[in-house]
Amino acid sequence: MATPGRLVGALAFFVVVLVLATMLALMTGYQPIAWSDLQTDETARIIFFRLRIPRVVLGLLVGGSLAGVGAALQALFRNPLAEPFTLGVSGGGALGASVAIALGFGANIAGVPLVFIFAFAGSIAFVSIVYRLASAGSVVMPGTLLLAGVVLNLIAGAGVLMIQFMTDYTGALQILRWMVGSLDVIGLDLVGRMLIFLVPGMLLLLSTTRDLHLIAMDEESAAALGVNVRRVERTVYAASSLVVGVTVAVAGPIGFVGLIVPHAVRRLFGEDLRIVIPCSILAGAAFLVLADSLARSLLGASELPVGAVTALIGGPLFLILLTRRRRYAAI
Amino acid sequence: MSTLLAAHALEFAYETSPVVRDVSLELTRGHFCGLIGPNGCGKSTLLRLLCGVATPRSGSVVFEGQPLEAIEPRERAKRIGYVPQLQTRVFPFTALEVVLTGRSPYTSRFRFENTRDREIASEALAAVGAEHLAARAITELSGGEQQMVAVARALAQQSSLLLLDEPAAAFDLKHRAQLLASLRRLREERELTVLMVTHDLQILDATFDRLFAMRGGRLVAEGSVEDVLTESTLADVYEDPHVRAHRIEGRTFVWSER
Repeated sequence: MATPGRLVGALAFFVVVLVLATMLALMTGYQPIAWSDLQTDETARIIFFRLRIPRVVLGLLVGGSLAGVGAALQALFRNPLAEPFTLGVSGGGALGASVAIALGFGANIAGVPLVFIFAFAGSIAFVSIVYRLASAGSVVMPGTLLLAGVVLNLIAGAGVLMIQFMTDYTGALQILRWMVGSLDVIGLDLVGRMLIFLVPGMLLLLSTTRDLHLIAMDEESAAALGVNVRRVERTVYAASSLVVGVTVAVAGPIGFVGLIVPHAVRRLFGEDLRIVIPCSILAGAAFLVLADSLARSLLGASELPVGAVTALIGGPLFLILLTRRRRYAAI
Repeated sequence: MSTLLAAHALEFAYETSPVVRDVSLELTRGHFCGLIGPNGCGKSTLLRLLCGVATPRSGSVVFEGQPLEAIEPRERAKRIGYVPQLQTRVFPFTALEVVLTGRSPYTSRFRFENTRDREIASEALAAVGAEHLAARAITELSGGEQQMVAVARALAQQSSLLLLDEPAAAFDLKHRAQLLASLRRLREERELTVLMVTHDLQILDATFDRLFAMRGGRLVAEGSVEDVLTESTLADVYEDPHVRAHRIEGRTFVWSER
């Protein structure tokens, strides 16, 4: 049962996991770097500070974002298979981002890359379409929700492909890199700009945990307990789109993190969303940098896209969850 | 006897066809009221309007002298408890976790329920005879057990009005009696008022002070249980001329002889 002590214990557990994962990720790579090299070797310094640290920081931000949003979406839709990828939020973000690239919008507005704004717009458009399609009156049909998400992802994929064909070679290559999902990034500049979207998005998300806890049990009862369900819905859409849009714009649509991580957290610490959501953020951060370490080290010199690794772990888990109809009656 | 809730000329429609039409009623503090009527006559919708989960198209609900929509929703939840007829059960929350949400109107946004809240939740579970279910996952409970947990959640809200939508439909004989006994005790302790939708007319014993009957979105009969549960009134409410009613030891037994 949820108590402040349990929350603190769970958070402490995931902080430890997170620190260990970060340390491991910083040590992993094709080029082994010893601590002493950093003081003497200029190349090692460049690799470590310009490539490896930004990559790990990006992994932490993206993983935490996707897992936190996944936990929130599962509660909001009362659907254990919901997550940014399966609901088409990621697809919408990818479509928006590739439109921005194709139009040559490498520009910034007041320090915010236009590609972030386009990705956010794509995400929020897609999540609202999915929701409209799946809701009949005040009831959201879980099966239709996932089906609508899958189809919108396909549409987004086709859209991205068309844009790729029409744009020039550089643009096409950049778009291709996104679509597989990778944490390849140089320097901390872009990662820092992501915070403009991530910080408000995450704060919004964390402000809804109590309400989501009630909604996850039953929407009608939550409303009777004083929760403004429509307002929570809008808050979660806005927060998810802010967070997922910008992570997709930088790292591509990395799937299944938002599915795997909240399920693992619930297994360990129970169903209370006031614990599940903050813990999922920490656990997701740890999970993605570990998955990326794996992606970077499995093939030696060449590296796998981290999106492929998460999909290879998450896809089978999705199927396992699908067979548990007795536990999750609503799928 | 003071009026706890007064509804005036309520109208409501989900799409275009009206579901509740021109319904006015008063609930007296400390009274137990029943609400009967055929399937789809608007009983559940009326409850949703009375607890503020749905907003009427026109008409008003006044609770303790205040317009319902003027009461802040969480404050409203401390005064009106509502148990919907159907609830989604997707995640394996424990029964105690579900009942504890009844304390959320009393708990600030970033806090957890305290020891006192947990005591109240356990008492609420005991009041419906479900204390043994506390640690069980609600997804593994039977329909009746889930309903007990839902009622316990509403009891934990410690509201002055309970709106129950067929709370005992899936209860066995013993738990049905236990629920009514607990509600009666709360009426004695703190003047609890109850409005209960029911298809089971036998449950309407001397505990109930008043009975409302709906048909086609309208209130068509109102009075004491004895007055409403007559063959002629029931034949009209259910549009069934074959209804038979028989009073035995203060209870009315009703059946249809078709």
